Amino acid sequence: MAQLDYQYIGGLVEQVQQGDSNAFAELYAATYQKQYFAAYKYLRDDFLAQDALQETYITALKNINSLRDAKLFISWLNQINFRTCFRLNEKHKQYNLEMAEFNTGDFALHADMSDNPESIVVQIDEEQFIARQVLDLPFSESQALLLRYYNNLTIEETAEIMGCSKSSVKRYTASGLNRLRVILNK
Amino acid sequence: MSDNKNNNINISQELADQMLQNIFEACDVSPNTVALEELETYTAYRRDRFKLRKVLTAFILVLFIFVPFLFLSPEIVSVQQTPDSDPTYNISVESFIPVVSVTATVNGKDVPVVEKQKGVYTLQPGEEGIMNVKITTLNRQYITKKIHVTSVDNVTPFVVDSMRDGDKFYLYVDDNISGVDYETVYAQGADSKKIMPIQIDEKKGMIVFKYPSESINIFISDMAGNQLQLLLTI
Repeated sequence: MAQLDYQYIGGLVEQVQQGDSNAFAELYAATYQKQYFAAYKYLRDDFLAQDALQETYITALKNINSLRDAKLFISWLNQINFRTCFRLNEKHKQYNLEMAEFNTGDFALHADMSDNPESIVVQIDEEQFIARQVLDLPFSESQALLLRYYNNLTIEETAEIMGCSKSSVKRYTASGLNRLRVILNK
Repeated sequence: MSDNKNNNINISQELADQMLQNIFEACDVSPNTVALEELETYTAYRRDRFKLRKVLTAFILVLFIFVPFLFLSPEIVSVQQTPDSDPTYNISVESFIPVVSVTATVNGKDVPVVEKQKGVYTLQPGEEGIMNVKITTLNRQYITKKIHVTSVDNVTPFVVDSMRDGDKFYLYVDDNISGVDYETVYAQGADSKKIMPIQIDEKKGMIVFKYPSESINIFISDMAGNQLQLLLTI
């Protein structure tokens, strides 16, 4: 299987930054299938993955001039894709939750929570805080943690999406958790 | 992001193309003029994994081309012996790889080697025997040759006969190998003055001196430089 020529990709990025649409189309042609694969693995839904894909490239094209090192385009695109998937996934989960509550008539968000609405809000705030801290971790660590614990993927699945070995996933997860522990203890 | 191992997780090119147009529209950028279908056939952005294979192939080819040179040995084209009483041998060597040393021994003794011209080595063994010559090149390959050295003259001329006739002194001399060098015959008195012969007959081997009034030393050499010294005592 051929790998990407990052030098050449970097050249295309520079052309895109000069306003060359064909160069962007060539970048897209070189990367969209892989990005779609990763998005699909994350979101497990065709339509969501397609949305994520489109949004990823829109974000990339709008912000292409902010990329200082053109040769890092692929990893930059991967990060955009990942964060887009994460956001879409959160929205989708929230939507599904609300739909489920609407259908059952049960407006209690969490079965194991007390009846106190303030405590529910506090818990949501904590979860969002933790999610923000996770997103602020180095990309590999945040990706590993989100895929493993938020998307409940196995180590094998996480390794496949991240394109690394299982031992690397374990390492990223462990170091991410350690870092998170330090942040949360503060 | 991993390589797409599952062929089912793909989007169609048509859909991808539509999405690309949506992307350009969303960013308010003019669309591509080269079709996505054509762009996907480009290979420039794909680093050819087989580059490694090409590099390896090139390396192996280079190795195959240069490895034989490691085993190329020199060749002795000719050995010529000069017709001297003290023979010298001129050895012509041909070698693609530069020659780093030429050594020779005869009867265990080193023989001096001189390269008078490129690829031609002159050796002067100085004595008879089997001369072993070894020529070594830069790739540590070598060739050896044994040369039977004969006709080395290291014996002085000898006196066949001598007599006095009046005021003349006759000497008859000979040399078995290289021959008497009559041009260098001379005598020397006590005052170290050189006394030349008054007559020489090479065919007869005859040397004639004026009979001296005092003792003289007579020096007779052969072509190989071996010198006979005679004392004529008065």
